[in-house]
Amino acid sequence: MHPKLSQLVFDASENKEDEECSDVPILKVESECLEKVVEFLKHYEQEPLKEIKSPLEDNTFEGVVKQEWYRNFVQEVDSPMLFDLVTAANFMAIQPLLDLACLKVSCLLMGKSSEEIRIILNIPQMTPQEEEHARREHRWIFDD
Amino acid sequence: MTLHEQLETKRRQNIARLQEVACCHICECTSWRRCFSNFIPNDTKQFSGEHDTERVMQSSREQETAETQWAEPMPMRTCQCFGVEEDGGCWPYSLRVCEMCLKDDDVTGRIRICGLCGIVACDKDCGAWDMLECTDREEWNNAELKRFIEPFPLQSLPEALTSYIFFYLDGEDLMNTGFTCSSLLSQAEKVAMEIVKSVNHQYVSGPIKRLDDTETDPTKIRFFLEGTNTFYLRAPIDEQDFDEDLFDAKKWLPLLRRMERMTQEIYYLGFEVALGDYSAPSRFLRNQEKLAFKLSILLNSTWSMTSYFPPRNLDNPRMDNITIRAGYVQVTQEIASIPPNSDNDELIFSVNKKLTEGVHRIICRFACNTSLLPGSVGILGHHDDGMVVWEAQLMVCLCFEREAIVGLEYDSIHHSLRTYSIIENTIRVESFSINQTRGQLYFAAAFSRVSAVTTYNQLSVRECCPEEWAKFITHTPHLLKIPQLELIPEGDMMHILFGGTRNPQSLNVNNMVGLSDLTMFVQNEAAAHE
Repeated sequence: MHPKLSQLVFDASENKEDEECSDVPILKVESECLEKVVEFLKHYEQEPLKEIKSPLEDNTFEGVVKQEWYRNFVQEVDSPMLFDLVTAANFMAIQPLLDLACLKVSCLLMGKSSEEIRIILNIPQMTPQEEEHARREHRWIFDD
Repeated sequence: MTLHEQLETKRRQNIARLQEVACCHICECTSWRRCFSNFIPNDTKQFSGEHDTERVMQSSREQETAETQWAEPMPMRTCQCFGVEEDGGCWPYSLRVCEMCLKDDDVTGRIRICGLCGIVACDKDCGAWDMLECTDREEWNNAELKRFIEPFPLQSLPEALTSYIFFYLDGEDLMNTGFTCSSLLSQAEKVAMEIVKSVNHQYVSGPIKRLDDTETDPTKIRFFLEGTNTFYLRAPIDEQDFDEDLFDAKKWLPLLRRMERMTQEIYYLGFEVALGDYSAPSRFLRNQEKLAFKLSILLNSTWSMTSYFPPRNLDNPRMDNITIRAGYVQVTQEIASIPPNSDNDELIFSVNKKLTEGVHRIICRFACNTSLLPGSVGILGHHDDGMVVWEAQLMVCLCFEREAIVGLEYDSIHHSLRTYSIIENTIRVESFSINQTRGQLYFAAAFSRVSAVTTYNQLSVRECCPEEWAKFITHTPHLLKIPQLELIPEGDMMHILFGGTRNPQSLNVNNMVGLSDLTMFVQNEAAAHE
């Protein structure tokens, strides 16, 4: 595995006074998510993820992430796990995983209407009064 | 005890002290206007102005001694500046507050508020409580309008991460995402602001002017930046000729969308959008390494060169007589300083990358209102002795359109330049031989003398990757049918659209399958004419 990829793990292991104990507690990451993180790190050691450039090179996830294993890695997980991966990658400071997971979340939102995004993100519908208020205050959203 | 619990305990211990001096127990400020305070008097009108410590303390003591009569708990806690129209930072949107925070607010002051912007956010460790969304608008202070919602995934992420996710989205997607709820709208606005500020130096300053020709064709909208503002494009911006009901100039999101549409038009990206790559303008806009015009040359009929314009000054957002920004050029009428030697003079713009080994492709666009011959494109040779010569030049014609589009493909192996001029549903292909030994070669485009003095005229250039090029040479501006190909023999440099004695060879490509056949045809025809 590539422990140095996680800045959190790397810093923790560097600061450990007891060199015999190599355990690093990761308190804020659920075990199921941590398994996926470990899976990512193990594969990264064999096949590093190519840098995701900005601006993106394509308008599809498949067009940007050309490495099949990484595509499948994020496409196999459901939305809650995907957001957990984002949080875990941020917490553990694993930049490639963070880039990959954030890109996948972005691609979920691309080309979708507000209604579809609400469903994806589990955001409730505006009431008619709220929508009328929004239309009055921000007409540009509805026009042009 | 976790860190959060420690902070919470400390805050509760501090409330009494802050309450005595009527300070906000979240940020400890005393300004009513700039801060939310747990201390809510029965009559808020008493405190419409700056805070009066003595008066508040007196009121506080009175309330302590009398039976506790707090103001009727409002369903929403907000800054006093919330909803004030003249406050540019306020957000007249509903805010989201955790239900538990509302219950605890009277005691703990757990709700944090960010001063002017009015955004209320619970502690990041608040927990997955139900969220309450409502506003401070009187008509909405109605229990029926409050709704309890489950926290959604993005909500649990830090703001920096949400911004990171949003940064990949284009203007349209940002807008759709922002419109789902108030908190995401504020995030989307911030991301839009960052994007605009990172690229606005590639455009002249505003205000944005729109020249519509929507009666004949809704796609014929010309965006023109007048370049009179002393600052780069930003929100709020001065708009001219826009219906105020349609465009809210105070927000970054609509400005970002406007810039993407301008980019789509100026750099001829519309066909890619029509073919399904709707984010092409957004990606192109954010590309900081665009092919750019570097050198502007006034070339008169005696082929002597005058370097006319100073290097681009990115610190000056205002427009010069003729302004170059990244890969596009724009004209105003104030060009009296150009010496009018003859109508054959050209104002040439050379790109910033020399032609190296391999195949290079660009798309040029002329948008000219009056001139039938707006200018020319080709390859410019910069010789060691300082001479600048057209190694290959194609005169560009305008037909019934306002814009002329030409693709240029340079092949260093075959020492050739091939041009693809789009004229309605026809792509006219012409070939030129290039003398490789004569200096450094650059793609270049030129305004004719007439075009260079006509307001609003634009000229742009952009690079093409092989995939984009494949789409370009097989599309038509109106996507009505597969383009009809006209191959013009080499050496025929003058193109008269109406009349003329040439008989260009044409081929109906409707029966051809695939790009390879088209390419092969072009190569075969070129070889037949050699």
